[in-house]
Amino acid sequence: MSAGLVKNARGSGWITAAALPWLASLLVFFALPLAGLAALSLTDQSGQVSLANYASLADLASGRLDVLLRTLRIGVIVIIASLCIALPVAYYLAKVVQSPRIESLILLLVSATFLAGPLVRTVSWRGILGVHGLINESLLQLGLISEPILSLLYGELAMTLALTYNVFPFLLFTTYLSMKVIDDRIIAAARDLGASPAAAFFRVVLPLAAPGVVTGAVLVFVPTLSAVLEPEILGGTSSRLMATAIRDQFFHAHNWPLGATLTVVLIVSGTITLMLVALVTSLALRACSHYGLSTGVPSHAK
Amino acid sequence: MTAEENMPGATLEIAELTRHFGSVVAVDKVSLALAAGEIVAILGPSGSGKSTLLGMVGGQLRPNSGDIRISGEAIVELPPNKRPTATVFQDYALFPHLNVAENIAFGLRMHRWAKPDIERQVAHMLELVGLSGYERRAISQLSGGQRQRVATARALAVQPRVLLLDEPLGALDRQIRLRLQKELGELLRRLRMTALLVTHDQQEAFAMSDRVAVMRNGKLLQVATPGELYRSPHDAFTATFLGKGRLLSGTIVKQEAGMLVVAAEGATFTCRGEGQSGSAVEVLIRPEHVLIVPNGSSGATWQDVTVQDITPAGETSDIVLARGDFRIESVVLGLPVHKPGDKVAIGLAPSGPFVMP
Amino acid sequence: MRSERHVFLTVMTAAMLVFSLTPLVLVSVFSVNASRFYAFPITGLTLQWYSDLLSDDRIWSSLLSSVLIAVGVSAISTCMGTAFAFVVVRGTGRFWRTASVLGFIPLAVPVLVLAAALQVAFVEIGLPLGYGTVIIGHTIFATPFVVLMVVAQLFRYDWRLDAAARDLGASAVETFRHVTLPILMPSIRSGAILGFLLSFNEWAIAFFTGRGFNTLPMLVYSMQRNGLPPSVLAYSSLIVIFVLAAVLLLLPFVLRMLVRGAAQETT
Repeated sequence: MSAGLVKNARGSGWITAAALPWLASLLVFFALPLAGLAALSLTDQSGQVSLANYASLADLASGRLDVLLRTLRIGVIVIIASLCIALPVAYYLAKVVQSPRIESLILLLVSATFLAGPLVRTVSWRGILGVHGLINESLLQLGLISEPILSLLYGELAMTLALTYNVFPFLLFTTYLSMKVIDDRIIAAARDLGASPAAAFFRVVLPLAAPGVVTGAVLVFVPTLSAVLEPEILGGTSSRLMATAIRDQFFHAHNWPLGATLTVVLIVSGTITLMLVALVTSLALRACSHYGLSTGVPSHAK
Repeated sequence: MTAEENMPGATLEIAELTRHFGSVVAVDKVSLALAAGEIVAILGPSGSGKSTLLGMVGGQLRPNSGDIRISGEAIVELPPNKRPTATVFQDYALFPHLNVAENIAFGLRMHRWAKPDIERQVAHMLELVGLSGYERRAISQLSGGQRQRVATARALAVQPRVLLLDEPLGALDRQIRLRLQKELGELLRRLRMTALLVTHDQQEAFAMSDRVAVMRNGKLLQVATPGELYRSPHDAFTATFLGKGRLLSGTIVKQEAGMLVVAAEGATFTCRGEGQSGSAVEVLIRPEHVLIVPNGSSGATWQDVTVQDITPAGETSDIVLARGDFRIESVVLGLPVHKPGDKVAIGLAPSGPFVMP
Repeated sequence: MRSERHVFLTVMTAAMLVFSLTPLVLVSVFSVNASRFYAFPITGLTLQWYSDLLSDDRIWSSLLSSVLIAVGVSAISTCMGTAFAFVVVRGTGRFWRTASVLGFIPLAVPVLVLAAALQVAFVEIGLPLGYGTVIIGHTIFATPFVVLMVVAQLFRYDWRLDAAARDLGASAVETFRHVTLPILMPSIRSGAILGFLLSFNEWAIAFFTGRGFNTLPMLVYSMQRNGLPPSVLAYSSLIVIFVLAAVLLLLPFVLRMLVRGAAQETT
């Protein structure tokens, strides 16, 4: 209470001064350029106002629609794959593991690998998925296969794997943070009232951690939209994503208006996809509760 | 030049001080004057506005209206760093990045003291609070009681004219609290420091202060010495907040030898207090004034009373007595000789019951 | 209470660790393998690829470019981000709450989109593409992360420490300098290191808005397009070691803050 008043007494002059550099930078170097890009998308290469760029997307022969849909599909798959990794691991780190040393060590290792950057992280997968990579060599040694599997590298599988690898720590960190602040006694109370470990997780922990999970889901989806390195290094020719197409318009075809159009389409369709994911998730949850399907099994039912 | 030799406390006058938070009136026209060297405790439940009042004296909060004077000089317009006050904050607010000596020296550095003077004053303060030798300790290495002493030393080091203490012992265990109450009170008296203390703990207020101000819903209800407040509370809230007791509705029958004779619950008895014959009044009867005597004793106020319930509470026992719907509590030393169901009578200690104004 | 479920969670965590570490461990192992290819078998030990890498002049000029840019980004984003963190934590009223959210909006926009938009804008207004433009782009990209870093500690900051400092005679500026800033320093330092690393390893913005030089990721990107020379493996391995060192510098504090929660602060 007292701190609040010190603040009022000093007025809000300092707050304007503190906010101004970053907000002004955002306006000049973020909002205006994006607006400029949107405006550029409405012109043709000679500078005339035109909707031709958007119309060209509908031309199925260009394959751009396929690329867009593949990008969005892989983005959603990356969210799901990241959830599969992040939810159990975040819960383990935040609430289950007893030793703070182990907790710190694991977080340290994940952060260190994460900050090595997407280029190094992506390149390193080639030694795992290659014809003479770790997986093929191991399987051959174990006698499970007689010929190396060629399709591991250069395809959607490799690309999706690397994308997940590159972004899942975002989801892990946000989920971990939001689970960390949950009061242990709340989980203990749920267990005490008869919830199984799974029920306590799905009925108590997950709803409380939802804001962090949602934030993390956005943070893993967004980088997949701008993935250039992963498709190029691991995806092969058949797995182009939108980001590559945009890069090509800017650097090879030198058709900036079309490149701008593709980015606008990417942002808009990405936002719609996220909304759809949210909608489907909430509908599915509602349907589950409507039909009495429990997401967790009460312990005495077993 | 040390606090002990040169800087006794100054007078503090608070006049008509008011503070709103939105539509809530946290402090409502509070007036209070402290003599130099006087220790006054503001006692009230949480939300009574006592911390807000303290914050306005310290300068963390601005009043909406009213005046605060120290040695007759108005300080309302001064920012906290220019006020001749120092605060011992709730939970101490010790700087975690500084060690014990640096915490105590902080205010002196801000007041541009010379380095040798700072060292001398820090050593002196640590001696005052009994922490000599702890200069280099990190705050995180200190116990709760030690942190409290550092906070006190830090505030006293800047030689305030008025010391403000916000629940100074609230975070401590009972044992340490009882010891520090005594030590802190003695220290402030030795320094002749004017101190305004905020607490919700009646025992702390009574043990440390010369006068106690009871606060509720932003208003000061009564300011008096601890004994006076306990014996002669002016209203039902003060009466029950400061101790147990039964409030009875009755009528003054007559005045007799400076005392009042009151009729209540089918009996008449003498009370302290003032009032006109025939007026309806509230009478406070504390448990220690309710004496259990054998049934049929002459001079007993109520006969045929049943012992309903006995709760041992350490060195004393609480006893609930019932007579029809009428219930009253008594307290005895040690364990009572009676058991539930016994028939007894009640006598009232002379000059125990008090007619509230 | 603690048994079968925890087996599952423990196994998942172990699997996640294997998943995280294997590629980078593997790249480091192969960086000293005698064979030129990032593939089995392991034929012998050599430091040839490191000497190839370090004797390549392009590496050194790229390193210089990358460090120049990353230092600039780190300095600017730390100052702006720290200041903005105060707005996020202490801004009241609808206006500042909205502004706080807007401050994080770059996190929700693909980096490539930002890169393309900046390239177009810089060319349109005639700002020559170079170090300055990359620093601008990286600053927009990195600052929200710095803000998050500082906000994490600022949310737990006990504002009564400021009140205590003021009470003891410190002016507003002195309070900030002697109390608020020193206490926040660990998270500010972490934010600075994070800003440096994010810029140092960023490829897309540098690729779009940088001309006349190659940052390390730009150089390595072009190198790996020609059949992945082994010096790229040496580079990867060095980056892993470098980042690990930086993270060790940054993390003791962050982890203490995360793992132990607010317990160690103030009281």
